[in-house]
Amino acid sequence: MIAGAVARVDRTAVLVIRAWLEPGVEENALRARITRTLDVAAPETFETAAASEEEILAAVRAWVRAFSGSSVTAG
Amino acid sequence: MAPARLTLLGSFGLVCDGEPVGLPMSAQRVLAFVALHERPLQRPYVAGSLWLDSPEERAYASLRSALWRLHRHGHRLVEPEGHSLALGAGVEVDLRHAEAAARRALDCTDDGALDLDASAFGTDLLPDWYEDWVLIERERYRQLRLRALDALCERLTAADRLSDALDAGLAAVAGEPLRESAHRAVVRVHLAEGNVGEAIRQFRLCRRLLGEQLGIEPSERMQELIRSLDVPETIR
Repeated sequence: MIAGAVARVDRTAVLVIRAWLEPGVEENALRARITRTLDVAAPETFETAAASEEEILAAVRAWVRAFSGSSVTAG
Repeated sequence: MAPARLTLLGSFGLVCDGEPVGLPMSAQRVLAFVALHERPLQRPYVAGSLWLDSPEERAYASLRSALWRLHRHGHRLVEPEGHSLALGAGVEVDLRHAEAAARRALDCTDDGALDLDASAFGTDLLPDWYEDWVLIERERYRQLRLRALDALCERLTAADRLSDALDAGLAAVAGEPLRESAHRAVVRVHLAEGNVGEAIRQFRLCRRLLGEQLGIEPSERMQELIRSLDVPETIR
């Protein structure tokens, strides 16, 4: 499990990655559920799932971009 | 005085002397923070953790204010011990009961655990709270709960208590619908019951979820369970 937060004075976003290795599966056993919000003060959460390192990293990048982009417009 | 009951699973709740007690958010945070630690906590640690962005003096003032609000109903929910704060001796926390139940389910020598209801493990810890100290504790308990449900399902299947095993297995699937191991356990319960149709239905649900959300097929191990059935391939 990885929990990350990007904080500003007035806004905080949270991304939680629940990752596990599926027991009994020999290959490609990586699984993850990714829960993210762009503002904990108005916490509309979004969930996606991933089954590879690349998909997880893509979801994290998209979240960081969405947060920094929305912070600029909100600020 | 009757014990105070603090609910942290599902949502925050406090009952004192049989009556629900409403607390402002600052007091809820202090009570939850102290309750999640099973030892006395230094005041500076509590203030610094809960008011991360505030200067030290402001954080202390916020803590004093929250403690005053917490105690104005007359219940000793948080006890000062010198420079430390500890949960009041008369406060029962639902998380602690659920954790104890989960540990019993994981203890293979505890046969009495087979009588536990799947609901004894509760649900997620404060699911709409986003602070770091809650996130970490929430995930820790979530993993413990899912492992306990898996173990209980397996132990109940072995004990031929298939209806109870199914309850535990389905609760594990509900906890994380993408865990194939939980679906496999439910399929095995249905097969032990001789209920081939339900086993195939669970397999199809698993295949659909994995396909739609992860773009993958069930593992060979799961497919083997279904292939072993004496049914035409077209209805699998």
